Amino acid sequence: MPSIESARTILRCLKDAGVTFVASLPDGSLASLIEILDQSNDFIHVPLSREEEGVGVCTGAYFGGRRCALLMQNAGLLNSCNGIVTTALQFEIPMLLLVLYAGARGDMAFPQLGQFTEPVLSALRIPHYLLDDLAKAPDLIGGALTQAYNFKKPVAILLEKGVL
Amino acid sequence: MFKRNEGLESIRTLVDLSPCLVTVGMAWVDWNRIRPGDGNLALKTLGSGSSIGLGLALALPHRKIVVLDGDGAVLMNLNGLVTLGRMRPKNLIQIVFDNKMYECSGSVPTATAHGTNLVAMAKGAGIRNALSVDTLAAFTEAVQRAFAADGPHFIVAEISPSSENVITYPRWLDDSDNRYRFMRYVEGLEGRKLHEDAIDVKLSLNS
Repeated sequence: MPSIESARTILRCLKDAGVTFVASLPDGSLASLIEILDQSNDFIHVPLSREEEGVGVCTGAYFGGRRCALLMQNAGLLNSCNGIVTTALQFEIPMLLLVLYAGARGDMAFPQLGQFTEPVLSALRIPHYLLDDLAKAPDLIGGALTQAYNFKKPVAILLEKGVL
Repeated sequence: MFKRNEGLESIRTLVDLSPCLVTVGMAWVDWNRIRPGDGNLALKTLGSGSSIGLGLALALPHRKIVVLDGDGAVLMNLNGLVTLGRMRPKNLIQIVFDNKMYECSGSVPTATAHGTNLVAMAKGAGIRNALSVDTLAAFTEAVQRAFAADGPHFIVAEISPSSENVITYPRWLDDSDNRYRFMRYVEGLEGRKLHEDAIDVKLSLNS
């Protein structure tokens, strides 16, 4: 079961980074995070039905002055590729992609996702960082957000199941 | 049935200064001729109008946001309707010009030419204010009501295809330029800064 404490820590890091808008689609490991997110008054939360719309939703919120994050599993990242390329990269939109890394080291589920996630991010020229230790979360989330605005594009943080 | 450009002409003053998210294709060509300027964002991902519109409407809940869409685009992102039906932003007006074809992609018929009912799908997704109109008068009235009342509004305009055979874009649009102009335009409407430079973000993290 994902830990409530991990979820609280990650949300606090997002809040500290000034993120006020999160679009999401669940993964079992993200359940606690999404539950707390949905109850929080610190964020506008948009539950999606397919991840690619989240790229558009975050882009619209960015135009309205919000700092945004898109929370999803890596299958959803693959679902989102056209939106990432023809909206987020095309219009130079900074946003955080918080991606549950199914098939990562030690995870038996979704071996193909585990193999394609980082190569796809690299092909999209999206910087990506692995969050494998909760203690790194403040630096990674704040740093990735700064980089997203500096590079004018999405930046991804891959969340290992162990940290949730 | 009426033509898209007639419909857009008839709502020009209703839309006034509202930010418009305009689908790639003929809707952009027509609208940019009728209301040129920085308040129009030319979308690049087919179907992204409902999603970008939702995000902007939630970020600026006091301002009417207009999405000018097409049947092909809406069919590409039916998930957008589902999320609109769930979030129900009061200030979003989505206008779909349904010519029952992919007009910019060789005039190949879309599913609406074969019985798919966009209004039924929108209602099924939870968008209560969804209706279809097939005359210019009914269209203008529907948009008038949408500006006067809470939404979200989903208006399907049954239109005939454009008269022009050759699609001519009014000017080549640089997407980066378009997005900065659009954002500055919205800042002008809001009277406050919305765009953040990287340095602003960095400083806010250090404070």
